[in-house]
Amino acid sequence: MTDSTRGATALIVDDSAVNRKLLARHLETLGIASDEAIDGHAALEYLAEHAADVAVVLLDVVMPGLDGYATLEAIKSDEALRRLPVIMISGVDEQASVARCLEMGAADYLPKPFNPVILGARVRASLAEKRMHDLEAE
Amino acid sequence: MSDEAPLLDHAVIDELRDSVGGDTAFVTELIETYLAEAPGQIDEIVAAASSGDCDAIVRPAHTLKSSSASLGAARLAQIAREIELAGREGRSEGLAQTADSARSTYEATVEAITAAGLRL
Repeated sequence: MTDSTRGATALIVDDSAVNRKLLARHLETLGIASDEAIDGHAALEYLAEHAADVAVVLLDVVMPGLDGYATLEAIKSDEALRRLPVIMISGVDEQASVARCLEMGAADYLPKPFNPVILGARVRASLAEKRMHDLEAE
Repeated sequence: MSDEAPLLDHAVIDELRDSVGGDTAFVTELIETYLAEAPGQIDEIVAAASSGDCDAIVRPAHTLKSSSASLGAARLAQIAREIELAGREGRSEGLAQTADSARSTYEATVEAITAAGLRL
């Protein structure tokens, strides 16, 4: 556990319970608690109530209803949420998808199946950057 | 070709187990979660294929692809990838047969998982 991960909570957004369980387990080994949402609508409902408790969002792209692109857009266009780091984790490995998400403000983009070591490094990096921005804002 | 990938890639399962500190119980739980989810995804794939709905087939194929790959169900992951690609490219010809292949491959995968002692 590092300073950036201590007390951190992640929101995992994925329509697959397998993916949510696996991500939650790897986050747990990083000392990061997590909550889960099964799609974009559930994620936005959760963030409307608990945004202050969430340090990072791990967001799938292909989901029923509100997909990852639309969810990312909603987060980045909301003044209360836009500073939240969003890491896309997706089996869509086309360059165009990666570029689209990064241009929309995603902090990072990880392919599936994800490498737990890389996941850990990118989550820590996002949390450290968020912590720095939060400190600057105080 | 799809038949070249193994039903179960044990190296993937071993790597998964190692990545969670050797927690066999967690791997078993994950596999049971997969076995609870996959049939519904396959039903969606078959339904979309039977109506030639390329748009509707993409999401369940995509989800089945990634969860199958994560758990070493390599052949099913490969078939799901082919279905997803066909859906994205609007290629409905032969989709029904490929969807049926996904179902039969899933059933064979369950047998392989059971034979490997990976179930509760």
